[in-house]
Amino acid sequence: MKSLVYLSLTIASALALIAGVVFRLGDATTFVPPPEAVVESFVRELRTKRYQRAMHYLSDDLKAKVRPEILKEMTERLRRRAGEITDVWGEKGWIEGDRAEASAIIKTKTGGWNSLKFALSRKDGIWLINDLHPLETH
Amino acid sequence: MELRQILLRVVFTYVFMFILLRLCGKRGVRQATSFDFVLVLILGDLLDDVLWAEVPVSQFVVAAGTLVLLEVIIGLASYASETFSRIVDSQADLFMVDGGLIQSGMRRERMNEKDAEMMLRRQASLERRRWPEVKNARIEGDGHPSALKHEWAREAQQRVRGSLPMKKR
Repeated sequence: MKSLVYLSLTIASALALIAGVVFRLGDATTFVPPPEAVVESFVRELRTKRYQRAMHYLSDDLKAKVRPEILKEMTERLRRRAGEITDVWGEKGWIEGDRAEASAIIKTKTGGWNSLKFALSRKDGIWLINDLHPLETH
Repeated sequence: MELRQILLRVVFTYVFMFILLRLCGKRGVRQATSFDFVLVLILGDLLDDVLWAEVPVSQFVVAAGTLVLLEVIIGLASYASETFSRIVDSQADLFMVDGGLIQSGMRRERMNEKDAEMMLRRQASLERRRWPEVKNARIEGDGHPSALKHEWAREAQQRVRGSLPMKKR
């Protein structure tokens, strides 16, 4: 029974430490995925056609407007324009308070390298994508 | 991604996992059951996600912590209740009695005669001609074989080693 108490205390202490670092000290890149990791993960989900999972990276405002089917259409249009995505990685942009910008660099079969610049905002310490225009305007 | 961020995440997760596994009271890797192995695989996958900043560290702490908590709860429950232990822990299966193979036990463990031969050779240095020395052999709950020899075989072995005097003719 003692081990259960100690384990629970360890988990609670770790969560308290993370909360302190994120909310008190304002950490935006170490204990939470930085903006470039968020956009990279988002585009990876689109690339592998996991649109439902891609929804997790969107802000609440966007989630209210966008459904997985719309993400699918946007990705299909991007594919038709730029070609099949073969590789993705995130590139650092800027961070100002609760706003940030980061790019997903995509490598496509036909179009070579392209950069998709996303705007992000922070909610409960987590970075979320604010607009999907880069998928449309590229 | 900056190296400093990776370094901090690695240090945090290492310390967290270290404390968690120490409190979990796990025995050595060799004694791990197949379920422990699955648990380690899941924890490894969670670690991969957190080290490359694909998920917030708080999500990792909750996921890994809950898994280890469940493992400890199941361990405590099987310690407290024999019935529960029978349900969650794998039981030892006999595959040899008095030098003869037990087909039902071998079927349950999905092993053939060659597997039994190899296990006895490795575990008890017993070649096929010495199988009659075996009182019983089983696959233990952790998946490892164990063999118990007849009293006469053990005495004979000790005599050969010199720890018992040779019988006078």
